[in-house]
Amino acid sequence: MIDLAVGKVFIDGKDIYQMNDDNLAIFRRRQVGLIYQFYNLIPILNVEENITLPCDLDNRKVDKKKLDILLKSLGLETRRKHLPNELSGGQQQRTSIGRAMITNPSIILADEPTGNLDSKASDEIVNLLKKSNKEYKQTIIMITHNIEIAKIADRIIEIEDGRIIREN
Amino acid sequence: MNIFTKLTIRNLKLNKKRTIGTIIGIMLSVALICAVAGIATSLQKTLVETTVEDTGYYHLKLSDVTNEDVNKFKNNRDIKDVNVINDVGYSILENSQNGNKPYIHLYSLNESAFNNMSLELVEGRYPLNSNEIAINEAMLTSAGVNYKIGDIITLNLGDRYAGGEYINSGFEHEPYEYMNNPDGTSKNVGEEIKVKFTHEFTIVGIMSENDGPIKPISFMNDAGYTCITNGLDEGQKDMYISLKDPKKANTSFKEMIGLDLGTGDFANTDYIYSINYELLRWEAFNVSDSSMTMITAVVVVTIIIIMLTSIYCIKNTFSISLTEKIKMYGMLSSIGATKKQIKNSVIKEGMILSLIGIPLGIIAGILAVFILIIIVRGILGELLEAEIVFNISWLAVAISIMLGFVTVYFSCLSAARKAKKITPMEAIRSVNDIKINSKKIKSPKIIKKLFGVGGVIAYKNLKRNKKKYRTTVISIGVSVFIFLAASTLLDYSFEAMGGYYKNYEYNIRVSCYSNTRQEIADIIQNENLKDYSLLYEVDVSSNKNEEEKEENENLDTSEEDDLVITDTAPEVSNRLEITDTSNLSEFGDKVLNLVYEVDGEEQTSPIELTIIGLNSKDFRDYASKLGLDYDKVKNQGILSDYLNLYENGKTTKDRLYNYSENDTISGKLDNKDINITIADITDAYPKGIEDTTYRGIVVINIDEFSDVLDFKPYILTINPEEPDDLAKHIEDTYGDINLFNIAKEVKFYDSVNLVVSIFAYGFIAVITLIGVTNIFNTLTSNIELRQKEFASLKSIGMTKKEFNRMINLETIFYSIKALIYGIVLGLIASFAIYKAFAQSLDYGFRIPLQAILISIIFVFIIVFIIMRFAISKVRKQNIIETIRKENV
Repeated sequence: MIDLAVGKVFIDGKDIYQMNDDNLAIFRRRQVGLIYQFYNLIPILNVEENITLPCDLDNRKVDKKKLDILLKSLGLETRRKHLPNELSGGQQQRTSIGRAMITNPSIILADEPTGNLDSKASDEIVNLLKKSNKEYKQTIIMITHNIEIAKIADRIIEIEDGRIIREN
Repeated sequence: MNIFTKLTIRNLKLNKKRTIGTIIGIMLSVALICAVAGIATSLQKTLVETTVEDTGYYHLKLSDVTNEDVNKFKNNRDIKDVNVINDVGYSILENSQNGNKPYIHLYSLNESAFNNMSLELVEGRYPLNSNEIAINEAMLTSAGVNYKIGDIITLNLGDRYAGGEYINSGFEHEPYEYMNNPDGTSKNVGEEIKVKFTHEFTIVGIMSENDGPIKPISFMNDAGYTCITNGLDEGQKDMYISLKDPKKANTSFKEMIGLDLGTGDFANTDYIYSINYELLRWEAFNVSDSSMTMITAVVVVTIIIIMLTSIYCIKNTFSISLTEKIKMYGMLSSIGATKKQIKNSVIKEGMILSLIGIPLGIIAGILAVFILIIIVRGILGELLEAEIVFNISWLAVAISIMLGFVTVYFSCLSAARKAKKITPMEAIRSVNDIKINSKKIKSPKIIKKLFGVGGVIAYKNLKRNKKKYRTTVISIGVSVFIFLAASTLLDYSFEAMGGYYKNYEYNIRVSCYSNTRQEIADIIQNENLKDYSLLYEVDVSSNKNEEEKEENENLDTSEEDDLVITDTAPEVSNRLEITDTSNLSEFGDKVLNLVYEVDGEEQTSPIELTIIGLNSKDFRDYASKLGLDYDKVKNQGILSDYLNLYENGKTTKDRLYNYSENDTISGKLDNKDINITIADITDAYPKGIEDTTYRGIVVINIDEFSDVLDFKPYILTINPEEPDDLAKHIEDTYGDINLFNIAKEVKFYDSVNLVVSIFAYGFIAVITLIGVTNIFNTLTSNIELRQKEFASLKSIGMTKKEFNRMINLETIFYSIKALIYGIVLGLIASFAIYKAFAQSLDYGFRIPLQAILISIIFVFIIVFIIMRFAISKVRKQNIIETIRKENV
């Protein structure tokens, strides 16, 4: 999605920047989950449809059981047929997490996932992420300004003005 | 269902108005294409039907064939019908009062010939077997015989012989009394029938004599009245063959009789053949013919124009739709949609809209053609002899559907390509990426002074959104341009065609073939005419010897111009010969004073003026129209000696003589010296000869010159209230006259004018409508996209009034821009058209003010309506919510 200035990126043994656009897209839909600060849901699809989007792009059928379990764990079962503009901020973010997780990707990239949420919603989200990391063994790379949230991670890399200043 | 299909459909439902707008655009363009195709096929079928009316339905005629030939062709699978017509022979028609048609000419037709040849019954039915006969109505009228249905007649049928020689009835001729000897003298041969057999017939029907003989069987000057029977196999047999597939005429002819039209190898067949080119030309487009090529060219060009305009307009809609979905596509791309999937999604949108728009368009198109044909029938129906046919072939519909899909496909192609290039990042991060250069949107100070802040923002908007508004400006501009050009073209075309007839002051003009012009005198005497005027010409027949005079009067001129003319002395001219050539102008000298050689001798053509006479009343009218005092000029002449000479592509109009007012014209007529004083010189001819070309005329009062010259009637002009009734009555009652019904002519041209205008303006209207749907979509989406901006303006305190003003100013700015482009280009086109017509018609260039005014009014109305509508939507928004909203 963005060009490399220097260096290489390997995911699952594959050199990402050697792949062409189409292969990258397919890779993304199957292996990577994306969560944004501003949710970026499709306004004309309901919760369920938004979540199953990556599978639909692949023309793959979604396991109904799996979907139900996911919705339950996200706390969205009663909202599954609702449109994004009928949901609160937290519910929208949870939907986008559901989308990120439906294909069981190996990596989840989260860009300020709690930036737009109040403290209660933020906690919900963070717990969900932690859970999926423990249960499904997914790697989560998260960007945040909030030091409290950052502490939950296994590994923290501090970046200031575009440079890594600390790592642990 | 595929996720993209789901997304597309939901998006379309969300933006109902734009979706409907696009569907209407597609529907209109498909309707137009379908209508053009439908009109073309209807026109073709009409032309075919007209030709069949005229010639009967056949493609190839083979003459003098045998029964074997007939059977061979009947079994040929490429052949539709084999019409067999026997030329049975002639039989004397008892008591015929028509000296030129003393016979019955009997033909025998087979069943299919009755169906396919152009016949018309006035009474009874067609013969079913060889004992029945259908006779010709003309026998009852011009031959004066008294037959009716049910009568039994006996015919002694055989061939005509003259002077022992067989007369081939293939040559048209009335009965021979005299034939030419090899040395040029004539001998009296008389005709007789050598009877071959006798047969009795019962009369079962009477055929119409309308429009002359029955084609393609009989011919004009036949010595016998055409009668027909059924299945009498005597005499020469001809076959009229029709093909199942006229388009394959070339190959069929080659197979059947070895005739290769393509190579022009006409000698390669043993048959005597004749091809019905007239019918083939309309039925099978491959016969190379300039009118077919022209029609095809017009259709193709029109459809291309429709497609290009539609693609241009509809393309814009898809581009707008894409802009609104950039964010969504970007997001889809980020979670893994491939470029191809996104591109296909855009095209899918087009196809879904087509599925609704195209069928609607086809229906609308067919309906339009149907209605148009009814209208045309109503306007032109009585004036044309042909019946106007409504026909839309499946092929035309299929082609329209295909072209519709092609149009939509090309419309969404550029949007699809743009969609492909959307990278996830730029779509998610930026919302409305506008690359603005601050210099470019600087507004001149005058705008602020005249229009205030609102105006400044409006102006800057225009500059910023140049690309977006470009299609709007071009749509409007092009429509205005086409409208102006078409109006001018139509105006000039109609003037060139028949406009000048409208200025005539009379409705009917009668002239006469016979030498004595008795018929005209009769008409005036018998018909109780109220408003008429008569032109006279000089009569010199008193100089011919009495014998010739009688001979000329007794010649039966009721048939065609087939008079036997024997040598007489050269006719005495009834024109005034000007012996003094110094009276010619330079122009006149060049045109009139010609020297030519006859048998080695040089001769000059006589220089003559035609004398036109009017009685005192008409002369008084004519003189006063020219501003002359009748009493002063009643015994003088009015000279009109202008001539239009067309040479080397230019027309010059100049006087032939150099006489001035009060000069005397001296000349010789009929061996007498004639002198006429000139009262006036004009280029205005008296009533009745407006469209005749003379090499100079002098108009005089016959009452004043009756002692020196004799006059006879020349041309009668009548101005009745019911021109058609009087015209028909005169034509029916008096033979040997030539009647010109101007009222009918003008009505015809007016009707044609109306029909062509309907087609032309209708077409323009629909093309404009397509443009309007595009404008509608552009403007409404533009307003919607800027909702946030509007909300901000309102929130910081812009009043409703100022806000409306800002929107209206925007409208006015680009409408004016579009109008300027359109009007300027339209004027240029108008001038070009004027120049093209100026060769023949030069009335000076007229600026099409009316058309310009109409376009201006129309443009403003349309754009205002749309703007009003868009504003009303914006007015309803809640300011805070709009600003807060992320997803509009």
